[in-house]
Amino acid sequence: MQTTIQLIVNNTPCEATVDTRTLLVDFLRDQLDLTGTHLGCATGNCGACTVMLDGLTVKACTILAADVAGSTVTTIEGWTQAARQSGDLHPIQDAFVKHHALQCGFCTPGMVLSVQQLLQEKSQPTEADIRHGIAGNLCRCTGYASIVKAVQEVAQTSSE
Amino acid sequence: MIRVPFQFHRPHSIDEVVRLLSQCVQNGEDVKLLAGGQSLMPSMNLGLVAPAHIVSLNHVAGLDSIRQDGDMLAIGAGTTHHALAKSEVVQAHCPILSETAACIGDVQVRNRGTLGGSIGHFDPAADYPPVLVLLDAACQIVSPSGERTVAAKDVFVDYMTTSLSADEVLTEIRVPALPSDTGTAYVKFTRVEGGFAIVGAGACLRLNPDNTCRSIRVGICGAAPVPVRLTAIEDTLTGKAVDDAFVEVVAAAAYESAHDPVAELHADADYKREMVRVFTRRAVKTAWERAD
Repeated sequence: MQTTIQLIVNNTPCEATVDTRTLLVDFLRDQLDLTGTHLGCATGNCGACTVMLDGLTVKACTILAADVAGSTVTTIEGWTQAARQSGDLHPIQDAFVKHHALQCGFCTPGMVLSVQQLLQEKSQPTEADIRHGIAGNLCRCTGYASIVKAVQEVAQTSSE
Repeated sequence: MIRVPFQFHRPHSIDEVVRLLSQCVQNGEDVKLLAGGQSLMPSMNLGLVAPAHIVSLNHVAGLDSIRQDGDMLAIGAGTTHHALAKSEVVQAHCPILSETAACIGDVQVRNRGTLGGSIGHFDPAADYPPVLVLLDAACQIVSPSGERTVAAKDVFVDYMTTSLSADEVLTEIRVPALPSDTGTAYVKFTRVEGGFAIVGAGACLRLNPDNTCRSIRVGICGAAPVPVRLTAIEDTLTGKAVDDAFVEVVAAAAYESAHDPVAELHADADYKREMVRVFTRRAVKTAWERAD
């Protein structure tokens, strides 16, 4: 069964016809070519497919594309574009690079969006807040210590 | 991409939802309601569930409202865990429910998963059921023949089975606005943060000025396929001095009540029963600390 959806993806209105079986992550990757959103487990565990849906992070493998009609989706590409308007990397990106908070990089797009959401809600998180905030994103390289350090630096820099 | 094709429906009203459900049931076709989808979608991705029809609740307006109605809170079934955890009304008048919502899954799951979805799916390890049972919550259910209100304890029938029929939809959950001196706590035992509860225990405790028990309610998941409420001893504890021995009496009663724990990979039945004792003790102690 096909269905037509209208939504906003990365600030751009978009209309598309999708098979009802299409997951949001597959729609973004295969139909819109936004491959920054990764598909890991397809069971809502790993968080590699994290995107912002109407301003909140969700796992795009647990959502049907047909069900996001009328919504606003921001992927890592859209977030990066907005972040880069000033020409520089976003402080989260800078800190991830500086602290080697990515190794293979598979979890990074989802991880960055989770960090963005965390800092939006709590600009000065404790280490425990950070670990709770990224609990839905698995890093199979187990680089959590570096990720936590990177987030701590972003928070510290923003308070100065 | 999910392998098995299905018809997808995006109704905009509860009437339309019930009509669609009713049609599917009459035609003998398998239908599932989709709320946040945090359990249903992984199950469909894994091929464990393959309904012929999906009826989404995500386009029905007003299912996510939280309002105070006298001495009750009326919570729309489509309210997300995130919204429940952050709601000032819920934090003020039913803090055990916001504490429970805040410990479900992870940030992304809480942003999408809903109270009604969790009730309808009824995983025996889910966190809301024991808390709703101890709160004597009432569930508003709409069916083709009208509306009915069912006590939470009568919704959870058996392992992953509720008393809702296939053509019914849960629309609202009503919980009491607790007196402000009530101490409440929900604690859970998981292998990793955000995991399903191996055991979960909730407690609400009110004290008299002389530090005796005015009322206590305890609800537990993991002790049996359905939530266990310690009804048998709750009333007998009224008027008893609240001290460490009191806490042990409740913990021991919880252990005795754990008559049929569902053994799982990480915990056999005996271990679960022991954890029921430990986590009930922690819940009651914390509720006691918070009561004043």
